[in-house]
Amino acid sequence: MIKIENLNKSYFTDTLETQALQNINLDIAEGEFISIMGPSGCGKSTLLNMIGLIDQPTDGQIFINQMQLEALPEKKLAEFRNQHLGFIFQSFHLISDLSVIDNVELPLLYRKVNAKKRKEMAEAALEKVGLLHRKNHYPNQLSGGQRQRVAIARAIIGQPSVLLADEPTGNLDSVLGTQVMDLLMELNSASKVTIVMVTHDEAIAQRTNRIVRLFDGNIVN
Amino acid sequence: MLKNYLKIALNSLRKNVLYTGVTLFGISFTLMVLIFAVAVLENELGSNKPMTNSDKLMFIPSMTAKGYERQKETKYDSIWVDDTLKIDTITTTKINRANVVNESNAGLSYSVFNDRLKTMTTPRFKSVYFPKIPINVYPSNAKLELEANLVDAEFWKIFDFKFLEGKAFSEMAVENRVREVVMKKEAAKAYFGDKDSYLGSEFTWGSNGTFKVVGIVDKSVSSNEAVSVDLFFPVTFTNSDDLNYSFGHLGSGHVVLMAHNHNDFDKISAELDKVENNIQPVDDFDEFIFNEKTLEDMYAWGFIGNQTQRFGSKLLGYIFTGLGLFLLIPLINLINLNSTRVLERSAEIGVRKAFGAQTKDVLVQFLFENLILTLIGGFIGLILSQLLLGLFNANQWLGETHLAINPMVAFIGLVIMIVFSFLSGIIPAYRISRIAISNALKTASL
Ligand SMILES: Nc1ncnc2c1ncn2[C@@H]1O[C@H](COP(=O)(O)OP(=O)(O)OP(=O)(O)O)[C@@H](O)[C@H]1O
Ligand SMILES: [Mg+2]
Repeated sequence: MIKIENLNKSYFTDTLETQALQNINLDIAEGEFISIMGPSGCGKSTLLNMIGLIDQPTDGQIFINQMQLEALPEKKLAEFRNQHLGFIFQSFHLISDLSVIDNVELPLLYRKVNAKKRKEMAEAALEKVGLLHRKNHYPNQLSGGQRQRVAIARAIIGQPSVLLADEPTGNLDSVLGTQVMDLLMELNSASKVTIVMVTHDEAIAQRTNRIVRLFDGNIVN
Repeated sequence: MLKNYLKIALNSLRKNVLYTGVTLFGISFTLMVLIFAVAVLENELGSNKPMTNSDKLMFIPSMTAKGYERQKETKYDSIWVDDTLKIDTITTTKINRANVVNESNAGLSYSVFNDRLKTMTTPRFKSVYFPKIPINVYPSNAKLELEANLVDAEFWKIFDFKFLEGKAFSEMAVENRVREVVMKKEAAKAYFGDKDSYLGSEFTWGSNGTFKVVGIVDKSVSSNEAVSVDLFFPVTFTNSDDLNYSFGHLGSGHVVLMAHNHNDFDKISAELDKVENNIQPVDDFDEFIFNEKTLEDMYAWGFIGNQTQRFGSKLLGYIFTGLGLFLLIPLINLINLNSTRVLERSAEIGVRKAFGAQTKDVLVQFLFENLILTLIGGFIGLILSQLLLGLFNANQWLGETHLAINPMVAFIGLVIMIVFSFLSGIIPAYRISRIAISNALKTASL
């Protein structure tokens, strides 16, 4: 499903080179739910961004669905993200000027889907996260847990094969965090979506199929 | 897609009241000032009755008489006649044109017009008038201050007044000193009281006697002295002191020439030069020069310049430079505001791109938002302009104006605004859409 080979990522600032990832090799099977753990600054987000094709590796290969992706031009990458990937962020990143339903249908704007169909699909996605009754609210009228559920609806509306979640429970208390985690587990088992999640929470990580531990840009197991 | 952009545009404009307010104010206020300034200029200089021929008019409000320095040289010659020494003196006088010692500026005399200008061949019409003669009358024991022009018959061919009643006095009437007068409607109303018809009523001009009203004309929007006055009498009733000051050339008359078309001005000026050269030196004056001016020059004279120089195009240049600079302020402001606005929204751009937006999608979105904002601002600007112009027209704050929105100027103004708001939105949006998505997402949450 996802195959990463000899991946390196360095950030260059004026004087300094930071090696965020060193020679990473990782295989993730279809339908697997894995979590990435490790101390702050070890490169978790960097790895997730590489898999999510929103940052370019310095070196190495990324395959998703047998397609080699890291060298594709930006336009093709955008298309691929739109069709196959869904993102969930720690700070939700909902667009505050748009209503819940308009936020959820955002990925479909960049596909050729008409307005009626978009609305239907957005309502279905909101139904799945249990927030259909809030579709006309604005993000700032929702609690943190509700916001993250809206963000999940947005991430799944396009029926991606991979969900990438960077600390999805990081801004939530444990009760709300557990609810969000329940939802992800449900999606994973119901629709066979592959999920790669970064987390600091050991208890949450334990619920996933596998834990990948990073230290200083290396996988340690 | 566009509906979604419209939604986000309207919502984000609604939520950022300060930004929206400042931007809309900038756009609408600037457009309003632009429209107002052009409306005032058009009102003065455009071709509105009775100035339909505004671009073909050449005024000669004055002439300058110049006397140059005389340099006398005396030579002595000595000869012996019958054993006595005789001294002969020979004096020669030279004119030094570099040094003007006598200069006199005045209007034109009736005779200089009749003898020298009326025979000109390049203009289509030639008229002389004696402008702005104050006339105080006491219609109902209250003092009424009016101004009159004394005009010839050709005057009415140049200025196409709208006659509400009757017509102008004829050439015969002018020659035969028939006591006839053309009045502005407002003046007739003030003098005679409100009546259905003023034709045939008699206007008493002090010791000059009574004049029969033969024509009533509508007000003039131009403030030019030729047409702004209340009454028009035949030129032949001009006080003889005004007809002629001295040498037969200077007087208090003004001349207006109407060209066949706008491009004939050079020909007319050339013919005027010839006429000048034919005027013989008189007393201390060697040269007489006509100071011809276009309508723009006449208008500019009220603000800058003097009677011998022409400043019309300079004034227009200043005005349009000023307007250009004025336009620049809100535009820079717009660019500034937009740059920070777009920066604030870099996380949104990051999210959109993560979910598959292409750079062009992001740019279209910002273009669309700015277009909407600008159009709303432009619409408000048009309404404000209409209100402002209406206010000026109704209260006559600038005299008898008929200010109107020039659709071309409104359109150009709006297009400039749109172009700048495009640039101001799209440049920062483009910059941000090119930074790595992961970095855009790191900025503060939405
Ligand atoms: N844009 C960047 N430019 C320079 N260095 C960067 C950049 N992004 C990340 N880094 C560096 O790369 C390393 C890995 O960062 P990363 O964000 O992946 O850490 P993380 O494991 O996600 O940490 P956290 O748990 O705090 O989110 C860090 O040392 C960080 O300073
Ligand atoms: Mg991180």
